[in-house]
Amino acid sequence: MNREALRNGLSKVAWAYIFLLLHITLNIGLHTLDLLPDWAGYLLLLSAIPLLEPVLRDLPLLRPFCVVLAAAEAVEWTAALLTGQSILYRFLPVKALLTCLAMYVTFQLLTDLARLAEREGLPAGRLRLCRDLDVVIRAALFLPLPWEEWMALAVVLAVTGMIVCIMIAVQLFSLRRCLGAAAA
Amino acid sequence: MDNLWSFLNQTLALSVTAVLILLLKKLFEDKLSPRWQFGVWSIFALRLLLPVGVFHRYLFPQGQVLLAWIKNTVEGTPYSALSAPYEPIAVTAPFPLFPNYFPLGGSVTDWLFYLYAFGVVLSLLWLAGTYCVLRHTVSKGRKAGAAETAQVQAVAEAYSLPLPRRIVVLPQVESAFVCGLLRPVLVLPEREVDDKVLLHELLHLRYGDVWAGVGISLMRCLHWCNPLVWYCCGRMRNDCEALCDQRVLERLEGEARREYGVILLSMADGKYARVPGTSSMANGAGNIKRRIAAIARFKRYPAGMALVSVCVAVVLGATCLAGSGEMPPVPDGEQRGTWALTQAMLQRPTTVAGALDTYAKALLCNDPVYYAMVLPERERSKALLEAQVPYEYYAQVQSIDDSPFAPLAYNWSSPAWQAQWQAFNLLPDGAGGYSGTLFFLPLSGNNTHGVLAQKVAVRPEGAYWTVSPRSNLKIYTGESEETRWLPPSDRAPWTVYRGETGGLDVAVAFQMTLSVDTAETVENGWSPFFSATQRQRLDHVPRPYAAFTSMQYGVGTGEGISEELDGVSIRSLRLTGMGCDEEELDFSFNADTERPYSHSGGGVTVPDDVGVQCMPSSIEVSFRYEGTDYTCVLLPEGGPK
Repeated sequence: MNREALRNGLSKVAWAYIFLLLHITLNIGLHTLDLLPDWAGYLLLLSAIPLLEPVLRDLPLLRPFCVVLAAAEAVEWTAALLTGQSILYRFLPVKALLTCLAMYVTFQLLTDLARLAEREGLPAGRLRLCRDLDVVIRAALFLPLPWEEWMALAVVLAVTGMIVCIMIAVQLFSLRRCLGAAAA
Repeated sequence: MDNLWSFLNQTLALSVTAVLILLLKKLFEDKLSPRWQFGVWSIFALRLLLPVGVFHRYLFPQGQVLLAWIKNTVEGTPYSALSAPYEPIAVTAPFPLFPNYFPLGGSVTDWLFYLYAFGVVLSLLWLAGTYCVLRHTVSKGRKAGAAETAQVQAVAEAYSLPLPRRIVVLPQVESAFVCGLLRPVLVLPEREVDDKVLLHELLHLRYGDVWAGVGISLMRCLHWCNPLVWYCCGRMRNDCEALCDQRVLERLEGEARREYGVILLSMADGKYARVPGTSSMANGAGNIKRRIAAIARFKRYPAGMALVSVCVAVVLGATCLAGSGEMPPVPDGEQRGTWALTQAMLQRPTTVAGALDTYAKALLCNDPVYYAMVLPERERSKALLEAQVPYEYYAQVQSIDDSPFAPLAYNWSSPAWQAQWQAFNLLPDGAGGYSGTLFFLPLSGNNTHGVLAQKVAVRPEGAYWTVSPRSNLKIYTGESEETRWLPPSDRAPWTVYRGETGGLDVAVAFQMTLSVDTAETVENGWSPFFSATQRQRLDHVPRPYAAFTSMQYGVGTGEGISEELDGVSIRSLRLTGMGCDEEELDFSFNADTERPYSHSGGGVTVPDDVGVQCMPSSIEVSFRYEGTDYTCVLLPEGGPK
């Protein structure tokens, strides 16, 4: 196992997650520029797959999903930049399809990384718990509930989701650090 | 489904669902388990059973506009006996219905619908006939011998599976299958049958797969003319078999798994694959390849993946079954023609407030498209014709002088007169609707004085609310005229509520306005001191789903709002039956700290979202008279005064 490649791969995954998690936008008139675009996150994931493939056998299964999601997010990013509006997510079936793919990519990725952490003798329970919470919250927020009336629940879910995402990012960087230390 | 368009609406929604499911299945083919691959078809089945447009939610709202536009174009001349142009495409049931029997002499679309319904009946008969023939054939089969019965019993015991009611042997069949819903029969071929094949069939029996087969056949019958549904039904059967293969493989070990694949390869016979009430392991040569590929991928899916499988299914189900409540926007006040009319008619008012707002905007914009949205069916034809005429700005400007708003010098900003509306004294009309008076007042900040009023009737029409005028617009001119109409006001109409308590004949005059705040604040430009000035502007696009956002009332202690009765002070009012979720609204007045309602009444502005629909059906009033407290329930006496 090439530890340096593994560490690089994990770095890319952790940074990819930061791109997917954070949205820092500049609004200029009708134009919206996302400084941390999601498509960059998916491209980082895509570039991490060959590096992690030797230790995570199932990871290449995510390659086509990452390509589709990166392409879709690139279209959205361009549309927001030029018109300030969404193109693909306006269509509910397309939105559902992309949500399902994104949910699966995150879930499978975190499952594989938790397995890797266990193999390296590191605790993985928290990562799995965050993974489960993340997917459940995403699915729950997709439900056609009267969110405006149930504002309290919506806020609780959104805040929990945000905390879970931050915890995942922290754990990914922590995993990278631990494996880096092991490599040294 | 009672006309061609409702069938098309239903089958198109089903097709979009099918495409979405097939896409996801393709993407997750090697990632999610056969249980998910088969289970996800339940969303397809539910979509088929659930009429499109329930709760005004659609999977593909843009498609709704397109289909309605095609309908309105095709049925432009209203000669169809089953559907009318500009009527919503309502799906009342997932199967063909004929509430008005079979009116003949209609349009081509009517005949096409009859053809579709005939096809449904024919395919159901064909399926029933096929099943009966098979049952007849099975009934002639030889009862299984002791050896065959013992083999089946041994397999059932080994894997703790239920036994079929009967086991028969048919020489003409190539492979074993289960037949029958309530009394299933295991049919065996004359030749020797492998234990794994028996295990497969007993698993079908255990999980009730024959019922799934019946459901699939019925779906195919209901949408017999949709090739995508046929394809999906085939995939469903195959996924059912693949799931059964998975269950078999989970019970087998090592070499036995490989042997199972070899057995499957030898079964290319699909003779009884599509007969309802059967489950045959052999479901045609074309499907075997896919199943072999699934067996080659066989693995025990980790329990953790069940969570993401469920979540993906939840997102898919929420999308396909609940859809989106967002419809394309109501057309702007300058759009005309079939497309604009189609968009507008898909967004007819569903609330009393929405209907009044739409009617008020129609009046303020003089827009036939908005009139078509809100007028009752019998009064709509003129608006429908006028809405087809292209909008001309100069013609609109020229008609301004004829408007009743012109003498009051209301501002006109294309395409609407700048005014706000209020509904006065909406009283139940006894037929599920309301009657009241619609008032138009100047927007605040406008240097205009004068009020316009019109009596209107608000009535339900199916799932929608309509408004029809009951008088011409009446004009009231004068300085500060608009403030004189605000409750409590002698000029505005009121209703007397009457009751009796303690030997006293009690009468209370009550008036109430309801309105939707549709004025928006806009920048007016820069003043000489470099600060932006603001003004109010009417949002002229109707809000057909709006609720009343504000309410104001006035109350008097006699038969008129300003009548004075010495020694009477109202302590509290409890208003009930106002058509809102809240059963009652309470207004209490502390005589010690606040000025009680002793003689001339008063007004209270209620904040947004009160959910009130109309005047109260009864008022419980507590008052003090000559030192004694009384409580009395009052009921409205006649109409407004």
